[in-house]
Amino acid sequence: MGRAVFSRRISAALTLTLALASCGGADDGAPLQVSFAARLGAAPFACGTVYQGVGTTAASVLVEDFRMFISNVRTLDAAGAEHPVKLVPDQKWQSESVALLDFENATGPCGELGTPEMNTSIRGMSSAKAISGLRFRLGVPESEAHQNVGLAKAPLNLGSMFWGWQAGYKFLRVDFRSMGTAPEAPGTQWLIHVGSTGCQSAASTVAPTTTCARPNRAEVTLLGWEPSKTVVVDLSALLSTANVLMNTKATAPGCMSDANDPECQLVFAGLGLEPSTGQCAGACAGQRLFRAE
Amino acid sequence: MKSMKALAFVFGLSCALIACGDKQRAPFTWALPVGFPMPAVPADNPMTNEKVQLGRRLFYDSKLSGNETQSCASCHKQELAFSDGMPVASGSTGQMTPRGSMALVNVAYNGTQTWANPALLLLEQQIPIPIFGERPIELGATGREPQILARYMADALYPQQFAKAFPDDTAPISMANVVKAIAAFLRTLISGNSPFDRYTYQNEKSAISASALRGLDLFFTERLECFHCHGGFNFSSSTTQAGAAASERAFHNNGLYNIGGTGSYPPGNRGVFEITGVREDMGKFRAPTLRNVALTAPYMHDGSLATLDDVIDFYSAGGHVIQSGPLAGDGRANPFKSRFVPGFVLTVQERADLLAFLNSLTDVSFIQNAAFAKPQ
Repeated sequence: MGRAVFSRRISAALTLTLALASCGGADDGAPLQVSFAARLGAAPFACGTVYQGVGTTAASVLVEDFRMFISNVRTLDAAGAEHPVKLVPDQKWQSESVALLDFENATGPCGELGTPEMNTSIRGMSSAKAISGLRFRLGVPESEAHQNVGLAKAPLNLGSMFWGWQAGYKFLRVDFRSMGTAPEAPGTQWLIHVGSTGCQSAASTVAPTTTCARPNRAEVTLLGWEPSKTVVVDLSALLSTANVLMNTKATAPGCMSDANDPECQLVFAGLGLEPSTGQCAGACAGQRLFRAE
Repeated sequence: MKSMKALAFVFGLSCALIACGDKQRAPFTWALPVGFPMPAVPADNPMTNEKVQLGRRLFYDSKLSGNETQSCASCHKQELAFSDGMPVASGSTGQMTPRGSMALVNVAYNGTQTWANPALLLLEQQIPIPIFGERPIELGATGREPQILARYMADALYPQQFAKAFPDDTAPISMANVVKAIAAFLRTLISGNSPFDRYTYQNEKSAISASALRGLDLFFTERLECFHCHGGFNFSSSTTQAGAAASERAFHNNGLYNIGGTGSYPPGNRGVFEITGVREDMGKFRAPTLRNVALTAPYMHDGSLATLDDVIDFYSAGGHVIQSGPLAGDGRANPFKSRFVPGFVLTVQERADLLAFLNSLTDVSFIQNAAFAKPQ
């Protein structure tokens, strides 16, 4: 066996390796980035900024956390047909199945539970020929929603986005407090933690073996979105029907996904969800949190 | 057969590189409990068995204090989950620390080290503080470094131990390597075999009582809110691991003080504010892991709560009210208090259940693990 044979073998192995590395690349199509921007009305979100005019009482609010999980991303063509976007795993913000959007940077009021790192886009591959809309789920897929947060792959290994095995992950986490306008309206704490409820298991640290009664995964459809546009995540729009200066007595502050909590009924409506079933109400068409701009 | 020779050469080279020139060394393997992730380890201080064993000996050896009266273990006792049972600690020269000795439990996973310093990310940054700190003096090594290193050099075993732990160093006996070796040992102090763990991770359904199970569920409710600051596998919001999506380095003001209604904490003990000077950081401290919490009384950074019963009373009230004296104030109304400490009401049974759950986090195998004990 001579040098030439050896070289040929190396060369064959190299070619095979290259072929494997690029395998699927052609089928996945072209890179597609979906950019998100958190806002309150027209104002860009930043930790520490006081935003005015929120909700039915035009309250001022200070936001303390602003994160969410997005999954099942699809583009829509002119005929409304769905074309899947394959997420590109980066071992940090997105796996093959779910992406974490993180609009807070742990400064100021976001410091208690926040993280310095931010992520405001989703990166995927798309083979769609024409794009005239975007559709995704706000939430972690059921198959991954109730696992060991310590062993989960990024981005599902953050304790602050996790309740426990039974309830699983918080799909949407927005913590804020409204600031008082008068002694009789002192302002209050709101915690919007949206995740599945009605999950049956032996204990909080045991994963359910059946699906949760109320999945609470909003399906978001943005007709007219194209890659040059931004997905605006507007907290003020979500809260437009709520009086954020108050919280119903004997309920969680804000909305911790309890279908019977009046604040949750307002928040869920703003996500297009029917609180009692945790399913989309009319294809989640009523959602106000996201829009394409 | 040139190709085979070439391959053999490449293979041999790889082996040589992996072994770093020392054929005798067995690679370090983590003894991780079921369900635990791989800890993050800094690239400039990789784990080796030799380093861990050196660090263990240094940890228990009073040669490290200036006056040879204290070791790390003086304030971190294995039977108390490496805490010391004192509200605050006394250093080697008798000076008192402002805060209690923290339990050394799963410190490899801490997002930040010590009670309240967002800049102390690594054990290698934390360990020099008790060794060299002058305000207060703890081990009191500052200015005595030559004497301390001479003690190790004159020892029958240390020179060889340092050389094996740091084989690439021409002068391996150094204070920098003392810190690295102790850090490596501390990273092995992993606790994950409590009755709670056996129930949750090891499928041992009878490992905890029905009362503890009810307490576990209470712990994870939005009514008590405990898990927001003591969540995740390590029961701490300040937790990181290899491959973590982001750095979780939380700090919380739990309403322990509110001097004069200004939000202030006792001077010198004002949490992250002492480091940053930012008002919102007043009274913010890291939430320690609750693993082995029944062994680590007294509680809070200043040891001001004596028992777990007191701690439950405190969180139930949503803060601490001090009626008179220089620290008087209503901690419940501290303007910087965490949004997760609103207070709650427990029935007698619920309180017993919550305590049963907290007690189920005690890991007897951790405090009896011979690998963590003083070397013979």
